[in-house]
Amino acid sequence: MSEQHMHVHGAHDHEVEHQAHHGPGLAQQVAIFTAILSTIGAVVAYMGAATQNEAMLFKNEAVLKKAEASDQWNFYQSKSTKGHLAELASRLTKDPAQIEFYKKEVGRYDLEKKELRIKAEDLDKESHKMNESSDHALHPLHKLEQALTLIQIAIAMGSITALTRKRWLFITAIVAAAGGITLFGIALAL
Amino acid sequence: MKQWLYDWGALNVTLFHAINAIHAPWLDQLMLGLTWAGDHDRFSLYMAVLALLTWWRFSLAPASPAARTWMLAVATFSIGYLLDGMLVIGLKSALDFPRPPAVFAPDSLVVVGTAEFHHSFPSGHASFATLIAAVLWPTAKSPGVRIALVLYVIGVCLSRPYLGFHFPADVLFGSLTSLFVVMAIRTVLTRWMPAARG
Repeated sequence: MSEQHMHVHGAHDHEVEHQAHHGPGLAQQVAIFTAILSTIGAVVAYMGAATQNEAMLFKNEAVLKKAEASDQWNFYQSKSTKGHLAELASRLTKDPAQIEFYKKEVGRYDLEKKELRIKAEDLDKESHKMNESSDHALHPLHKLEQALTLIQIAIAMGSITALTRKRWLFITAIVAAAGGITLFGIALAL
Repeated sequence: MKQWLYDWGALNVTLFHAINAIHAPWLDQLMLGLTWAGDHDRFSLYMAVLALLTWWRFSLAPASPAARTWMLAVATFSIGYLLDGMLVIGLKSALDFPRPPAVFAPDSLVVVGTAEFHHSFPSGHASFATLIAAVLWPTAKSPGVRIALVLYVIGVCLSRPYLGFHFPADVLFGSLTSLFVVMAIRTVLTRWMPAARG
């Protein structure tokens, strides 16, 4: 009985031929593309977290300065009350020595009030500045989040490219990645 | 409905206390490590490793079904991360179940770290850990790797009630959402993308 070898063009052979024509190149390109994008994504995610931390630190500092300013304003209020009481006392007494004493006290309180007011206003300004720094630190966050989303979309598109073997999909993945990297650059410039 | 699906006739709370009551310094560190490993912020790190492994597989045997399986894992992971993230965030925002510190008195539970009070259901950590394990499952041929994947998921899932951040039901449903997402993506990819079939 003669053996007749019939070659069945199976799925595996088809795949090998397909790879020979289109090459594993695309899949490997996609894998490397994904690895690079993931690394960039990790950096973007880290920057996003660092930005939030920085903004939070500035905000904490702003709250602390505001509390210190509030303390100074309380002192100011107390000196103001004491000054008014001293003024009242100077008007109620007939003793010239007492009047002189209370007037001096009013002058002293006025002087102390001035110093406290300057301190409180400086602290208020510092608090305001810290709040602005916190807002400024948060500016890139929105862009970083958008960049990360685009990078994740690019990774997903890239992997689908390898499965569908449609090069145009890879181009859209590259466009999404480029968009993500551009937004990352903009975020860094902010 | 919630009583049966979430409370499990008080079993959810009982299980939470049973897990949360066990504490040791070394176990705290281990659980914090597991929670770190199950944090969705690790996506980029895991994806980079997965992509490099896939590239290596393709350079070994480009036309092999194993290489395709790895590429399918990359696709499932990248799409799954986006879909699962949307699902988990959507459920968290829509349901806004309270976390354990919002339900119990501070002295009746242990919280390791900064206490959180909102958006308990489902657990994002459990969901992410299950996503990774489910994605890698078809690529893992040896029983050792599969056991490691199962232990990783169990570890991350246990770490959440242990650290006082989630109820067991949050963790269970978090895992189930990921399993559902991964199965759906794999079905779509293998059915409509011939190249994805191993």
